[in-house]
This record gives sequence, C-alpha cells and structure tokens, in this order.
Amino acid sequence: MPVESEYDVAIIGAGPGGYVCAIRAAQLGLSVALVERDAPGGVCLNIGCIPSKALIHHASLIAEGKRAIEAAGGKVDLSLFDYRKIWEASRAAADRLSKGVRFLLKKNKVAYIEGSGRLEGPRALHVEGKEGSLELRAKAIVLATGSRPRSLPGMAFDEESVLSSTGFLLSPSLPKRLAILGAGAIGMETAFVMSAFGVEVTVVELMDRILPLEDEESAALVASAFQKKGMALLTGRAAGGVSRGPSGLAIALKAKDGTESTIAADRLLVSVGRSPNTESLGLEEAGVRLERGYVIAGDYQESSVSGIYAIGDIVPSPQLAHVASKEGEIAAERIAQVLKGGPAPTERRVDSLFVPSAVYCEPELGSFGLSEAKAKEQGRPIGIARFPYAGVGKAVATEVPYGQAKIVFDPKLGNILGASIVGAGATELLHELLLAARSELLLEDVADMIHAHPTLSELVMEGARAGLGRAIHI
Amino acid sequence: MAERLLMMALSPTMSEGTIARWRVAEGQAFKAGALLCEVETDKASMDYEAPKDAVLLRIVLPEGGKAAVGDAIAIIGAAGEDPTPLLAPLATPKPASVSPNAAPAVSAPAQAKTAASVPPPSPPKSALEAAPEAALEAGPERPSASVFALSPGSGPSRPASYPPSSPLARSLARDLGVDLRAARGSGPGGRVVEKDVRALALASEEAGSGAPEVGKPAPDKRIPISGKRAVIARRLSESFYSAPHYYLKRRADAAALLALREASRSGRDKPISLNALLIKLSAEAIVRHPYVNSSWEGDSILERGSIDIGLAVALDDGLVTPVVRDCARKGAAAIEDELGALIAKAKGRGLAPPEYEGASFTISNLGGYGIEEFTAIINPPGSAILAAGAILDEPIVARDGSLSARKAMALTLGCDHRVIDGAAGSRFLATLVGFIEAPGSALL
Repeated sequence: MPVESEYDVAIIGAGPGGYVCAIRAAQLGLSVALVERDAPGGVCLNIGCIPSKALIHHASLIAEGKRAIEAAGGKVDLSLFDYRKIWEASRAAADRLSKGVRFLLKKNKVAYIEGSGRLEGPRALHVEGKEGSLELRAKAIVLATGSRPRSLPGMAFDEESVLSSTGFLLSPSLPKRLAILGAGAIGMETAFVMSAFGVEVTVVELMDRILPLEDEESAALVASAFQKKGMALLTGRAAGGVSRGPSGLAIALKAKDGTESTIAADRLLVSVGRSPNTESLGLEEAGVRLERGYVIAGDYQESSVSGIYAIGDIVPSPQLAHVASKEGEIAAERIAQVLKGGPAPTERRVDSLFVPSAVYCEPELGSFGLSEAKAKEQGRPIGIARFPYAGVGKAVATEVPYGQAKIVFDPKLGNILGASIVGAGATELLHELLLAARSELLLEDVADMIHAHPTLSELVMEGARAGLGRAIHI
Repeated sequence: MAERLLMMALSPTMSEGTIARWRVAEGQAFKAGALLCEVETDKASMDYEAPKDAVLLRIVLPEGGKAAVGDAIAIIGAAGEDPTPLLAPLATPKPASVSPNAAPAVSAPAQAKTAASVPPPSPPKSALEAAPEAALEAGPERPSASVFALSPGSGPSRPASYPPSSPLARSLARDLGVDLRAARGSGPGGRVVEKDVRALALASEEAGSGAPEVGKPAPDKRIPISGKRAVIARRLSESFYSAPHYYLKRRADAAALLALREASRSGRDKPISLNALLIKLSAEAIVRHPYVNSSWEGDSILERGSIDIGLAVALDDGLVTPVVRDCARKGAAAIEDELGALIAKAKGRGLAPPEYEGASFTISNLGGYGIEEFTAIINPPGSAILAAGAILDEPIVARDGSLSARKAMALTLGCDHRVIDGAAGSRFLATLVGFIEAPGSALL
C-alpha cells in the first residue's frame, strides 16, 4: 500500500542542482522531499568533477614531484606504483563528499527518499524504491535528473574497452594505450591524467582544434603543452567505427579531405557530450514541453507546466555543475516566493555571459564571457589585453611560467567583457575578473587594486594594466 | 584626539555654506549620523550629519557665519579635551601655516577648497564627476561621507541626490550624456547598473522623439529630490505625524475687510493686501489669546513674547514661509511692505534662515486659486495655522425669508491639541472672525 505524504516541494535528482535546490528551499521554510535513485551528489560528486579532480591532483603531484626530485639529482623509483591506490583515493573523496551532502540534507530537514521518481500529473510523484513504492504530493516539483554520457552509433559503451567517463572513473586499472574521442573538457582532463600516469594517449576530435568551445588562442596554448608531453592530438577527424582484434581496438578515422587511417588502442573513451535524462519521467503525459530531449524552461526555471520547474543538465543551458546549482537556487527562491510570498529571486535566469568554464588539465584553462571570435562574429569593437605568466614573479619562482591571461574589454567604456586564462591556477584566478565584470567594474579598478606580491594574482592585475597600456613587467 | 570638523560640499556646485543653525551645543556629545547643524547653501538648506561619535568642543563658525568648503566649522573630540591648540592655527589665514601636529584632516582644507571651487563642467559631466566617490557607499540620504576623508584628490563627497552606481554605469552615462541622478538603481543595494543607464537613455531618446508610440504609455520620470523639497518633506511629515491636529471652521463676512483694503489705497501706490491685513488682525487676536502663540517643547510649552507670523508662499519648486516678526508692534502697512520684500526675495535669490524660520503662527491663503476652504498642516515650531479660502458671495436668508448676498470667507484653524484645546482654539477663532467682520474692534 503506497504511503502518501504532502510536501511544499518535491525534487527529483540529488545532484548539484537538486541538492542545492533542496537546501535552499528548506532554508526558506519550505518542506522538501528529495528523490534520488543513486547516491546524493549526483554525477558531479560521484562520477564526475570530484573523483576526476582527485585523480588530476595525484597526477600533478607525481609528475611534479618526479621532475623536482630528478632536477635536484635524485632518483624516483615508481616500480611499485599502483594506480588502484590513487583510484581508491578518488573514490574516498567522492564517498566523503557524498556523505557530506547527506549530512547537509539531514541538517536542513530535507526528506531524502531513495528511489526513481516519476511525475503523476503536475502535483504528484510516484517513487519506485528498493523497498516498495510510494506516492508524494507536492505544491511544486523540480526536475533535476541530470545527464549521462552520450554514446555514438557503433560505439556502445561496454565500460570494458569502450568507456564513458563513468566507466573510466570507476575503473581501477590503467590501459597501456588510451584513445579519447572528443577533445572537450572531459577528454582533455582524462588525457592529461592518463598521460601523467604513463599511458600512451591519442586524442581524436571532429573539429579543427581541441577545446572547440574555448578561445582559439587559449586552446592552442593547451594543445602545444599537451604535444610537448607526447600526446597525439588528431583534430579534424571523424571516428568511423571500432573493431576488436587480438591486439586491442582498431579505430577507423576519416579526415575531412577523405583520408582514412586507423589507430590502435587498448581502451577507447568516448567523451562527446552528455544526453539529458528526461525519459521515463512522465514528462509528456504531464504536458511538459521538450525539445530534442531537453526541457524548455522559462523565467525562474519554470517549465511549460506551471509549478513544474527544471534545472541543470536537462535544460539547454551550459551543462555545468555550478550552473545547475544556481538554477536550483533560483527555482527554490521562486517557489518560496510563490508559496510564501517571499522576495523574488534576484535573477530570473542564469546569465550565460557570467558563467565560468573550467578545464582542469595542465595547463588549466578558465574562461567566461565574450570571446574574441564571438565579438568579431558580432562585429563588435573590442580591446584585447594579454599578459604572460612569464612576467609574474611567483610563476617563475614556482616553475609555472607557461600560459597567459587574455582579457576582452570594451575599448570605449573600459569594462571587462570576457577573459580566458591558460596556466597554473587559471580556474581560480579567473574569478577576480568575473567578479569585476559582473559588478561592472572597469579595467582600472582591477589594475589599480594592490595585489600581494608575489602571487599568481598579479597576472590578473598586469593583464588589466596591459589593457590600459601600462603593464609594468613586460 | 580633538580634530577639526570641516565645511563639506553638500551639493555638486557648493563652494561655501552658511551655518543656519547649530543643533548641538558646545560640550554636548553626539552620535555618528546625528544632525550637527543645518547648512544653508546657494540653493537649499542641508543637514550636516556627524561623521562619528564625539563631543562638540568648540563652535568655530557661529550661526549665520559663512565658510568655504574645507574650512573648519568646529572642533570635535573626546569630552574634556582642550580645543585651543587646534584653534590657534585657524586664526592665521594661510592654510600653509597649519600646525603639523593637528588632526589628519587638517592638511586638507587648502586642496579641498581648490577642488570644490573649480567651476563645474557641463551638466551631464558634472553629475558624473561628483559621483565616483559615491559608488559603493550607503543609502542615498547620507551626504555626510566622512569629512575626515576630504583629502587631496578625494573631491567633494557625494551629495544626497546621487544614487550609488557601478563604474560601468558612470562610464556609460558619461558616454551617452545621461544624468545618473535620474536613473533608477536595480543593482545590489539599489546600485545603478549598466542596464538602468541604458533604460534611461532609451527613455529620454523616446521622450525626445515626440509623442510616445501608440499603445505605449509615456515612460516614468524619476525626479531627484532637491534640498528644499527634502526639507519640506521632513518638516511637514514631522509636524503631521507628531502634532495631533484638529480643525475648527468658521465663515466670516469679509465685506468690512474688503472695504478696509480699498480704504488703504489712500497715500499708497497700491492697497495693503488681504494677507497683510489677515496677518495684522491675527496678531491682534493672538494678543487677546497669547496661548495660540506657543510651541510644544516636550517637557514644557513655550509661550512666545514676539508674535512672528509666517505666510505660506508657493514657489516654482516648492514652498517657503517668509516670517514677519513681532507683528503686534507693527502696523498693517509696515507688515505689507516687509512681506512684499520677503516674497520678492524668496522668489529671487531665496531667503536666509532667519527670514523663514521660527514662525509662531502661520497663515496659508489659497483663495487666489479659487479654493473655497481647506485644511493646512501646522508649520512648526508654531502650534496653529490659519487656512483662508476664497472670498465668495453667499446667500443670506433674512428672518422675513428674503434673500440677500454677502461676501464670505471660510477660515479653517488647524491646531496642535497638545498646546491648544478645542475651546481655546474656538475662542481665538471667534475673536479673529470678529476682527475681520469689524476691523475697528481690533483697536479697542
């Protein structure tokens, strides 16, 4: 016999969108049910951002430690190196944070319900759990079911030899040769980690360059660093198919000019994007409008059905954890406003110009806002400022003099329109420029603020000065 | 440590100011944000708020005194401190001779003065020039950013009417020639951001391009509060919310008053105005009922010796009440002459505080606008206000049923019940009506 309970909000999916939405809604005095079929924290925390950052961290430490010790005349013996131990550390980090989320939900009195949720009309959910099913009623429903790795025809994931990012992160062993299809953030981060652990890496990308969504100049800096590490970057090539032979996988490639080639690998990672999880949720029956599998959300993340909201990877905004979290906050605040008459959320929707993107390979790449190419496409006059890491004392002292900050600004008004930083700590350094841009500060506000010496942050200050034609250390 | 309190720029064009009134006495302690004094500028009377908690050790600039922006107006510090070391250098005219051990603010006057006396650039630009300091400061009603920050290069502090704004908003406003003061801030804490400036520029463009589009209402206009308007708003709200008002109404036969006005023509190039006659007759009625000439002071009622009557005068941008002092001792003709001079000055350069402050009784006459009768808000520190309506013909039914007409004027007396009770107010009004109907009786 199903149990029926009534909440102010029911949320399906406890990823970085859903759990943040749940906590924010609880903070605003709403009763909240959070339905999750897997572990709290979602892909990001369990099989995405977090464990991959643990792997990247170890890869960096080992590579850097080895280099430093050898530079000082020492010798590093990696004969007992066991990737499984590093992999276990990545799982421990994921588990620890997932437990942390569980604690936060409990602390905020969110009813955490394990099971698969499905809409039963606009105000009810059916949850199918391990220990039976139940019905929930809620005044508002938030869909936060996230996404899964997109597969390609003829390359179905078996998670043994053809891997998704999930399979890669859950595999405790290293291949000898790894081919990666798709040179986006996931592909490049995986390439970096595997290469650092001695795996022979080949990256294949359909577009003419790696990181096709990033600034071309920045992507070229990453590409050049990768090539120096010995990775093969095969751009402008489509993957035709995979065949399994006794010596591993053979992947057929076709260049734009029609040239065909084959690469050999032990495993293939397919990282060509993510598909929204919008099936079997009862969306069509409830009248929720979908386009190409994505839920179409309007202001405050509300779907075409009043009272049903959608956040995160299932809506066509950038598929990033921090975007999902912000959308979750907006939806929670809107629901509280509607149900309790609280204040309106400060934003109707996420402004994509102020969404940071981050690639955590080495060198790191952090960016936001208007790129040079986009500005040209729009015919908008821009100013561009560049400053190299080599001009920053701290970067030289700590042996990371590679990379640059590139700032796109309005030449007439002097405000910052976008930035792309490649180099050590780029994903952290970016935020000063993002804050400046979003707060409508001008180049001189950043240029004239005293930055501690020696820090990598001086790169940002000098970049802003460069835009004003008065960089000192160049 | 004792320090100097400096005259500061309370509006973008202010280069000097006159102390209208000290609100804190020497030796008195005050809190940050407290009203220290009222400063009269070229345009308006502004409040000077305390920049910090301190004691007023010595007033350097007395009431009525004028000082340039950046000059010391007082010495403040801790209780019991000796202000004299800071007073000494003030006697010397050259700022260069300022003693080096003085408070940090002391080095400022010369530079600040120069900065403030630079002629203001073209209007949209001057709006912006003044704004940068403002960017991230608190709410709009705090013009008194620290006077202690009046250091070289810091320029005048943000005047009350400038909203906080982002650097980009200011840069864009400069570029588009938009006055930031008219912008509505939609950013955090009411900050004016880029889109607000763009909206404003668009609105003024639309307003400039003739009639609004069909089906689209004219855009809202945000009018900055002038210093004068702010003072009117504050004083009248204070009066209306703190003084329990009640109103008494009577109609007076104005025939004798009109005749008196006609009679006053002799020996003058124009007759004595009804307002001057009303002032004089009110003064005479007050002599018979001195309790009307009082102020509520919280722990006591102050019955004033001088009958100082204010007359509400409409200006293009507000309202002012010139005060004729000691009306009991002046004849109607003298009152008329004085009133005429004050009104001319109010409409011209503006009145000095002693010319409009401290009315013990006020008259408001909207008869000229055809208003038959109305109620008015008491003008503090007075406790009563007389609202005079238009003089209109009204029918009189005689005992035999026959009809005749008379010239009647509706009088509404607004009283502060804390000071004047209903019966007392009624007695005063009866006397006044008697004087209006038979002005000669005022001489008895």
